[in-house]
Amino acid sequence: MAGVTLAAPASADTPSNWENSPDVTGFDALVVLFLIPFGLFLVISLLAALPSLVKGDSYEPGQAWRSEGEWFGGPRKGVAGADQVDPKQIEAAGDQGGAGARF
Amino acid sequence: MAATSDGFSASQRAAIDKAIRDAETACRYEFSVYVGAAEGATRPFAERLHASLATPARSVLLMVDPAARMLEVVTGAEVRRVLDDGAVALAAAAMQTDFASGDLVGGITRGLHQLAGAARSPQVLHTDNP
Repeated sequence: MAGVTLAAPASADTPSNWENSPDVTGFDALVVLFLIPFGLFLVISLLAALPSLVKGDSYEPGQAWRSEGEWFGGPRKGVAGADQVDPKQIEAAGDQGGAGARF
Repeated sequence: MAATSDGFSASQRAAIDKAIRDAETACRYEFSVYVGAAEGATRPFAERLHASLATPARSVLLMVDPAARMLEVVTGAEVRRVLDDGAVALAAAAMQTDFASGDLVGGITRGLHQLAGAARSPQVLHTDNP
């Protein structure tokens, strides 16, 4: 009990064989803490936006469609496969139905 | 030179793919969506696209030509027994509203949802057999 109460607080100093670190100027701090992270932010943002910049804008509602046709759930041949369809194949497809509209 | 668009964005494609999957899950028929210019007359082109699908009789093709402002839905013979032309016309009318306001993705997803709902086989609650 006495050993605990009479014990001096632990103290330590920088070892004498450690080299002294150079002083950091305000400009150095500015570069390391702000300019470099901001530069990295710009570079990463640019890399992320690059694919869409190269490809062009994607379709937005109200925008005129100026792109190539896209077929979702279509055959691997795409529209080229439809070009090879002959009338007999359409007849073989059976009694096709459906509806059309203009908008 | 006019500005060009690269078609749908990844999220828009994902929304259309999800709507197709949901429609197929709901009614067990195959759905396919073509967005683009028709080569020649719209209806025969849509029928050719439909006939080139893997199982045309069990498939529904939704074709939208945004430039010509035309919409076609083609149903296969087997689908047509459940999804009649009147129900397809109703779905086409619903899609017209979205397409007319320029919302292609919204119109496609709405149309697929409505077509799948109409194509869902009615549940038989009782049969002749005891």
